[in-house]
Amino acid sequence: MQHTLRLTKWEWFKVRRLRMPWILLVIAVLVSQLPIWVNYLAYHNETVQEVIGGGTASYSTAWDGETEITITCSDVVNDRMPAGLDQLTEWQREEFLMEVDAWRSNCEGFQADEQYRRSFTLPNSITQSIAIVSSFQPIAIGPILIMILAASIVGSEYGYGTLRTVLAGGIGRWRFLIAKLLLLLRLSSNALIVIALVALVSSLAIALISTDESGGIADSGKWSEVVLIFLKTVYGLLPFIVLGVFVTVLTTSRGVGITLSVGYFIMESILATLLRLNDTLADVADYLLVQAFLSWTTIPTELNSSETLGVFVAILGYALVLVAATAWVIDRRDIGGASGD
Amino acid sequence: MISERVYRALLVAYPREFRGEYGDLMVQFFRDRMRCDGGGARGLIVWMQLISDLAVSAFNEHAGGYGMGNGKPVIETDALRKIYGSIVAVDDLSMSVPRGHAFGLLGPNGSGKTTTMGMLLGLVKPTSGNFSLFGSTDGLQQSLRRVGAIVEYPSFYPYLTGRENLRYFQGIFQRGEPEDIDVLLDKVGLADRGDYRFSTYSLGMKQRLGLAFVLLGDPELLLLDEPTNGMDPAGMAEVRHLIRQLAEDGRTVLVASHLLNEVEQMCDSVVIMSDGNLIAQGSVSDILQSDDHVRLKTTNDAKAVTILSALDWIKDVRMGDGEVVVSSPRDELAEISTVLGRSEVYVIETSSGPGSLEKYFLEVTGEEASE
Repeated sequence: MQHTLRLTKWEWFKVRRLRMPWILLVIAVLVSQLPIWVNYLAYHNETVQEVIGGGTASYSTAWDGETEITITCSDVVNDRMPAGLDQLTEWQREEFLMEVDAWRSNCEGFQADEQYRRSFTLPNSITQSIAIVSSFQPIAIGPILIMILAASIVGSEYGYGTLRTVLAGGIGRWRFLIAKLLLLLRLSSNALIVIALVALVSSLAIALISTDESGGIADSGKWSEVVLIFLKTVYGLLPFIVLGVFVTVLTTSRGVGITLSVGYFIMESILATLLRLNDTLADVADYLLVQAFLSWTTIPTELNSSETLGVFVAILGYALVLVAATAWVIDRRDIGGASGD
Repeated sequence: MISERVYRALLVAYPREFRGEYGDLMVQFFRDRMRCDGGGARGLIVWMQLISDLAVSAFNEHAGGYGMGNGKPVIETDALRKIYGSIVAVDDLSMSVPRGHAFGLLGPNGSGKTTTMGMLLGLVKPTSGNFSLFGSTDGLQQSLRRVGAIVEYPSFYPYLTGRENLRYFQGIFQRGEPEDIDVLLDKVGLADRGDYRFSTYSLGMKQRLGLAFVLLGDPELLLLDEPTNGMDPAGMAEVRHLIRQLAEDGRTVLVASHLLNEVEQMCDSVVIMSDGNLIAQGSVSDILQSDDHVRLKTTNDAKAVTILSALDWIKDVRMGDGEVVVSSPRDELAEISTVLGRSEVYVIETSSGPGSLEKYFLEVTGEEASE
């Protein structure tokens, strides 16, 4: 294991001098920051404000000049009851709730507005920016980028003929494979950390440039969600990493590896749509690789606990099967010279 | 009473590369001795004796490359065979490469040299047969850590500089120290180009970097495939000199080449391959001495071939490159001349072995001279 970790360390020495990972990182960062700034601009756009109306409206009422209950749109859309409601008599409470119900429509605009605000305020901005990279519909850019990177890194070893140089020096084939997988896992984790940091900086910048209370710090979502989406995304990307490596090892070509792995992604999306036309096959569609990944990383999750476990196992299963297949192929093959690809 | 734990602790102080090989044996030995002798000081004396014996044994084993060993071959192949579909790339190759030699693997293109090297390095899976490196048939990866090899052509990362490439491979193979890189770059004449990207190197410079690469960590065995390919004449001479130097320093160098003159100058021994088969094996001088071909220039070569082909005591006769090549001992030359003279074909010039390796090679492989 120590040798493999050392190999991974030296892979990092090498890969950071490549252009490709940096280009892919820039794409991922730009995509991740897009919703933050677009939502911020939309939030401060007057036309949008007029359309959505309501804003931070609140409703308050008082009885006998002594008891005053205030409810905000935030409480209404989140089905939260205001404090002090229990001090009211039953008929007062019923009257209050009826009036709130009548007033609820005023908060629709607030709800949309609140969604905008949540997209650029911490910590939800980080959660959203990670989620957008991993599961932005209809093209989940995270898996596609990581497959391109995996095929590129492994394929270049065949293309340059350096796989031969590495293995001839006593590096085992399995060790080489595991080192590449660990490297790619590290790269995807690093990319998500960079995305999170850039989202943090974006939100702080918005907080600084905002002239009103709308760009607050740490007032939307939970920090635990950031950790959760990070871990879920890294885990969910694992089978895509292995898929990219597997196809490249199988074809010994970077170009073909990229084409086939991205092609699979697109084809699977089409297949899932077709399967969902049939009620019986719709369940199968949910456990296809890309579909499982999307439902795994979508925030907020729509899965119940047993579905979550099912998707977790499916992702693990794909990763293990692909690792085994890759190891089998790489172990049996003769290693040729540079293919020039 | 000295416990086994103490012996094990003492063992730790013993050089690592020997410890792995003999450690278990030693501990077992002590366990047995202590059972008989009751351990204690006597056990310690036995331990020291054994250390001494093992040191001699290990020295013979590991210093063999420096011309003082037991002569055990560094590479041995036994009926090594590789088939690609219907093509037999290497056919039952059995050869032996002694320690401390510059050893040539000769053959025309497609003769199976690179495939053989690939098998020795674990890159190509043999269809059948066995081979050993440093006397071991198991643990190929372990053995390969003592080998520096370039197969076919030097393959490095084009986006890294020459220095970075060496640093990377030094890191993953754990060979030598970072400061060795400057020494190696200087040794192969790339001191001033070490910080240029590999993609900007000429073929000759790539070969030089390849040589620096194989020398990383000062390996015991070097496998070089066409090491002078693409080099200018001065570079080729430098490489030849370097390879000779390495062999004289006690390393074993296996050079695959189709450049016969080059191999003749560099190598002590050769294996000649053709169509995957071993044609000849031995020291260069022995091979040339064993050459029983007589070469004749006559007044009518075509007629001479016809006449000599009819004689049953001539093993073989054919047209060579402007000469008649007769497979016959030199002492038969007078008789050959007499027979030809009777038919009014006169011998103008004769020559026989030891000739050049090139002539021998062309004769045994049935190839024709390209120039």
